Amino acid sequence: MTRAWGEWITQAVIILFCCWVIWMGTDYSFGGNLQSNFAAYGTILLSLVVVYQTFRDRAKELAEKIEFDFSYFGLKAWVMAVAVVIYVFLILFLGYFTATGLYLIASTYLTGLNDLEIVGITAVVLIPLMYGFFEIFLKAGLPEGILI
Amino acid sequence: MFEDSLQYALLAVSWQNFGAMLLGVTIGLVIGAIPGLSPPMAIALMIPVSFGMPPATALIMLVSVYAAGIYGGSFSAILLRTPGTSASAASAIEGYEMVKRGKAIEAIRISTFASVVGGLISGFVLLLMAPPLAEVSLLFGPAEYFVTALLGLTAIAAVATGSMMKGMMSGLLGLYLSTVGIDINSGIPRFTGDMVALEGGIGILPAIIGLFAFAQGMELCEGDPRANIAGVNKLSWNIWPKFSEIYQLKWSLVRGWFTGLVMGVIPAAGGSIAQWIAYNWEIQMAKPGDKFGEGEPKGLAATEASNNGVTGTSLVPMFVLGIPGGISAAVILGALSIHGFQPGERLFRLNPEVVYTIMWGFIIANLLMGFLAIILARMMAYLTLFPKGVIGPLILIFSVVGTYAGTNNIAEIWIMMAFGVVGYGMIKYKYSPAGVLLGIILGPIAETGLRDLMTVSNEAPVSFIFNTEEPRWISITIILLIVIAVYYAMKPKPWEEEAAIENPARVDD
Repeated sequence: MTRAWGEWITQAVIILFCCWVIWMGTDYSFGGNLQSNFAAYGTILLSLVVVYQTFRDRAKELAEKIEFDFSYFGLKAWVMAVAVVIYVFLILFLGYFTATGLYLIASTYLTGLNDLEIVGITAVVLIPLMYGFFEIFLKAGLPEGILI
Repeated sequence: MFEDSLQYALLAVSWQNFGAMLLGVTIGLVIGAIPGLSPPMAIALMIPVSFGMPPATALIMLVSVYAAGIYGGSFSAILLRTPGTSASAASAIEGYEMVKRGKAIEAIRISTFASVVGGLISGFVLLLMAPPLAEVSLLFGPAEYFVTALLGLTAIAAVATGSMMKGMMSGLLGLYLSTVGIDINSGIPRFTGDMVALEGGIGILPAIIGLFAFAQGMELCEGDPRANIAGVNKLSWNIWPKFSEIYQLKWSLVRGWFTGLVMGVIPAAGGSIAQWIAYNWEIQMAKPGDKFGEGEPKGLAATEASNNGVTGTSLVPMFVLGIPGGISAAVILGALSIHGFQPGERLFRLNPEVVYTIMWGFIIANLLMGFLAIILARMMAYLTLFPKGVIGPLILIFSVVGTYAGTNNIAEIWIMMAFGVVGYGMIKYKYSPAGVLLGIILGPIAETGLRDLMTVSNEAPVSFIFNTEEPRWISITIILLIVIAVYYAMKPKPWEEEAAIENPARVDD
């Protein structure tokens, strides 16, 4: 797939989303849909301009193929985002500080940094600092699970 | 006006405010020095920390992070040719060449003097300019509020690296997102998908942290986890300025400061643009014997003077009209809103102790930044070596804990993560996370303005504004500015090509 096609598909999705916003807005009274309609119609207009620009430039810089990188290296940022979802559930189950220690060790290994010294020093310095700051100074009441 | 503000200078140095300033400057220096971490991200992560503080103290801390973050970015720009922030990209050219020629300390000394004095001058200009300009907002009606919000969004889009259209679409997405939640006029939930967590609307805090911290954390987790490693450990550190050095660079510094001050006041221009204008001006003023591109101190002095010269004046349009002078100012505007303040004349009239204390705090923070930089220079140089493989996960952890500490609600963490993932995608496909944030912040003002405008104009807003008998001159002027911003944004920007060489990242100051 070329970059031009990628752009057209993206703009089509955006336009469909705007149509949904306009359709939803028909239920809102007392001018409750004024701003959302303004944003949606404005976005559709700009989207059409992008479609035109892409059509104009499709033979030049947008003709190149999109390279999808499905290797671990290419997907690393998404793996980290999924790891954060697991981390948030772990916070509720184990408690904030235990989960943070585990996450820090696991995530640095996931990024490819296999340096136990750096990770260990960071965890030893950071976790007590965070405890002091958020629990004692800010009294944030971070979640506690079966541990802390 | 200035005399009235003097009484607040003492408030700015109360032990509480001074402590916040010290914390803000230290965090700003540290985060600015680490390549890949930007001042808006640092400010975003410090907002939850500021919740336990009085508003003036909280905002002093955040503006201190901003000023010090921009200066801190010069360390990695000069030492590694990897700008810590996009506002330091031009400094990398001459600064790194000076390092290669064994003049690392001289480069850091010039950068420190130019930045500290630039920040101080900029702070005083903020203090002198903002209060009288705030009176302008008294002339505003519904039409003016609505078109001013549009001007803010257009200005942010105009400087977005990549596509102007995508920058504007980002702003409109923000405007739409600001309507999510229960409509105060009708009591009907809008676009909530029956989710209770969305009925109160989308919080500014999860949006800021998601778009600026979580997205950047994800980006840092890409690629080589040790990418920041380089050799800077053979340097000695005494960066106290030398008079002879500074005297030789006096006109370069003046030109840089002037450029920064002017560019700061222009909505959304920011240090990223100011530094390139200052650098190009310096090249045009070159004399025989000047070696630009080979470690010319005049080039470094001008760029460093301009990027910190911007910091104070970029807060002028933010305090006066709610239009940020740059992306960091947009995040500070969000913080101002979270702490319950609206920009404009009312802020100066009803809360002078807050606004003037912040301004004095900003000035004093710049002085403190100079002293701390002298003490911490060596540590900051080592910070440029910190591996990305640890920084990325740390940013993700702080995003989660910051959101929770600020809201005490797990649902807000999911909203923050959604913004983070969207923000990451936006960075990759050249949309503007800053535009979305500004849309969310300006959304309520724009919506009230639009609804009132439709009522007073009998649903004919265009003929109301351009009425031949009683034209709305302020609105017409602002619309003209929007047209100019769009025209200017359509033209190719020379600094974008140069910036792409030095810093492939987005505009992030």
